[in-house]
Amino acid sequence: MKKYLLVAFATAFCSTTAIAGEVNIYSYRQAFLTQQLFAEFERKTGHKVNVLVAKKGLLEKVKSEGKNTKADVIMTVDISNLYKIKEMGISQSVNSPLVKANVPASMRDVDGKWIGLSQRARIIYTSKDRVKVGAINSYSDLADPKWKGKICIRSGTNKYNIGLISYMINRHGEEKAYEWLKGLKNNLARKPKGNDRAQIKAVYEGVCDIAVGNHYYYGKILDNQDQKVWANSVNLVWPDQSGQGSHINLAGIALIKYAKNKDVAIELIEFLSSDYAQKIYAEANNEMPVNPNVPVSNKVKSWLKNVGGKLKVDTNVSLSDVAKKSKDAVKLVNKTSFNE
Amino acid sequence: MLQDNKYLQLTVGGIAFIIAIPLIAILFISFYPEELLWEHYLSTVFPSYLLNTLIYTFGSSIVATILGTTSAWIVSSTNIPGRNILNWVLLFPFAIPAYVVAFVYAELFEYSGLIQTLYRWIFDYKSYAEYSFFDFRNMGGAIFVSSIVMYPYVFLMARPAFVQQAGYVLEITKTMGHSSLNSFFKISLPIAMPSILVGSILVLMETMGDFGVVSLFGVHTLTFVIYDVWLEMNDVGFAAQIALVILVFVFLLVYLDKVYRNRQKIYLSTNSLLKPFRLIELSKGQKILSLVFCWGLFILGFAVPALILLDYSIRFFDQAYTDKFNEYLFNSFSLAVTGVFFVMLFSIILGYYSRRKKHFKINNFLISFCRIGYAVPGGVFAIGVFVPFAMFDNFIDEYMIKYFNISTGLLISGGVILLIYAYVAKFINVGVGSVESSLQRVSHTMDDVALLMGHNKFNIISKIHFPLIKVGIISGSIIIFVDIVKELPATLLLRPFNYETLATFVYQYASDDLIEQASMGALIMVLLGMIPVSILCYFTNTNSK
Repeated sequence: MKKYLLVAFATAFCSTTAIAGEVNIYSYRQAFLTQQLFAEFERKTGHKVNVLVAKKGLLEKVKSEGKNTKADVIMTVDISNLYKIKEMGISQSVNSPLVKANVPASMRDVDGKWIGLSQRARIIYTSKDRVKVGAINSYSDLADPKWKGKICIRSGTNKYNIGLISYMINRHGEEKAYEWLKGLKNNLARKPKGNDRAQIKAVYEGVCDIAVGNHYYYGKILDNQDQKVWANSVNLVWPDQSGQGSHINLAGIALIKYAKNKDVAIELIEFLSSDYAQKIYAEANNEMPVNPNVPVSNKVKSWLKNVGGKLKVDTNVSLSDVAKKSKDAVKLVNKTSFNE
Repeated sequence: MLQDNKYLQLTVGGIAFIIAIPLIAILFISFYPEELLWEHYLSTVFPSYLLNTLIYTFGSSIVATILGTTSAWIVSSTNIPGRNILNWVLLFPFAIPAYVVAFVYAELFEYSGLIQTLYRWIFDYKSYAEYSFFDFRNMGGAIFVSSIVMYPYVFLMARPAFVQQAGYVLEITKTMGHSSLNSFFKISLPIAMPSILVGSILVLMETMGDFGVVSLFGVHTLTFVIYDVWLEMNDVGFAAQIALVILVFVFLLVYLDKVYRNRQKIYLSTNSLLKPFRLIELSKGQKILSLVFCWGLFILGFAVPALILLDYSIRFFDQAYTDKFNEYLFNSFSLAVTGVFFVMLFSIILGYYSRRKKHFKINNFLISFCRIGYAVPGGVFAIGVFVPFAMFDNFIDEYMIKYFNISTGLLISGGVILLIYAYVAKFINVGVGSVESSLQRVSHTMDDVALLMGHNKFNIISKIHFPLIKVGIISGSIIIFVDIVKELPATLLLRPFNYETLATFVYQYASDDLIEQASMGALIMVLLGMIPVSILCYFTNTNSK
């Protein structure tokens, strides 16, 4: 018992002393996605990377730790989180010219209070056997009564869906978005459950003909020996390619206001937006790089073949506006009893 | 017994208060909502989510209570073959995290799972469109999974109560001419009821805060509302208000349980332990039925999920294995051992205090109050832990800079100490419950007689109390050990940098449905959970010989 206590105390106190040449990361992104990037950063710069991964509560943690926080940067998925970081006032501006050159203005905050690092499109998967190619082309089509009982989607209040619904509110106004969501709800084959991966599986199983999910999930299931068959049973539909373009969301990073290792932290952000790291983002998880110099992975390129190899993105709706509407989006989900 | 002084009252009150800090913090947070969304929620999803919550939590608790009580009574009071092995293996199911079992069962019953594949093969169906099959991912499935992994809570609490009465109940039964089944309902069950209820309430509270199982099965409970409001509407204040609704409800339950307990005082003498331990003879048919029931629980709650995990970890060995398992195992083990020590230390103090005849009302309230943290959704509870302690750290830091020009930084937050504190605050409920329910069987008359006979207080505790409450305390410790090994939200948020436990390692994959990668870590967790379970069996089996 004594020994464990000693270890516990030792760990507790060691963690309070900062050594130069390190960077402390609070991350909502799972370690297995980012470890390759951090290992490369450590190898190239000699700095040490310390990570704390959690699913929720990191923003509140940074805020309550205030100026004594150990976190230097925070990494997260979803624009609503990035926006919230800025709103809560827990980040500071990154003014690195390198970052500005690497990341287009539409994918970072005007004040540099958050920086996008990768893009993910919310797309439609259709059954190869049961849905004709071209039968469904847009987010709006998801509400078409002809798909009654045919669509699978995860919980309406999941971040990715809230992003899509907020986007629809921005794009079409709240009233139309409400009608759309009601239509989509009426088309569901089953109560929303499971994650994006489970929806594609449901198409393979015949539970539904159409699924909504993020694009990189297709790569994840292709890479799994047991799940490959699911991927092979669906076609990818990149929504609204003949119209305004698809809705994309971001994963990104922010520099903490009271970062103790600010220089190393900025170095890390520069590294993550560089061609070298962006290529890893693209290859390892099939996300789309934000850095325009870096092409999408060969896999994503092959999935984009039917739309001419390049994804048309709706740039008229700003991501900050999407984030601002997330509260209204949750209300719509509740109003339509989407999850019941 | 103990001197009735203010110092003691204050110490106990202080301990309960410190343990209740996270709940007090949540209360404070709830005063500052960004927007009062009650009208919106009451007119939309709140009623149906509340109903789901009640069905899920009470459903799981009732089923777990029936399973746990029946199996505990069978193995402790009858001559079922292989009692000692059953005593041991019936505890295994709760070593596996509920969300992992949920995932495994969902897979098993899905289209490509074994059950439906077999079904199609037997009836020669080609596709999903040709037949209908029930969907396992619903309320029924969620209740099944929760009760099959949580019945050991009830089993553990009920068994000591049955064991201690076994010899004596049989005697009464014989003299009064009752059948064995009759004696179960008329005598054994009422005597064991206070202990059983401790287990039932544990299941109820645990499912109340659950997010893993319900989110996987699409059962929308109030936990969803709490997380939606906090994470998607960015309103932690209003989320805390909804959490408080649950807490008021849980507090009432804990309080009612206490009232019930105070009315129902059934004491056992140390004598009953010395009586020859006699078991109810089962007929052949009863034996078969009991065996099917007990082994069925083991198979459904443990063997099936464990074998599936084993299959995954063999087939995906390269992805599932990491050479860091030693480190994760050590972290989980040392956290759990340290945690159990402190939880039990404070539980014994609080439990003994409750047994006293004179208390301060405020202390009674605080003790009941600090126990409801167990039912708070984990993520919200973690906020309740770090917010006040970060405030405290920052306050000290500012003070030290001002007067001594030394920055102390975050003294408590961000270290393992806070994590241990979080475990104490969360699991004190289990500890106090197990101590209180064991002490309840020790009568005050016994103390008085012993005092009159010239024994000192230490002697009374070690010679009279300890033998009677030993099993109860060990049972509670085991639940806490396994609960800490499985604990997630607080561990994720409060651990130091680069600190991984088995639970956090498994979760990073399992949360993304990557059960292949998570499988071996989950199995190691199960093995770790089996260590204390086996220790308990050693104790109870020698006890009953």
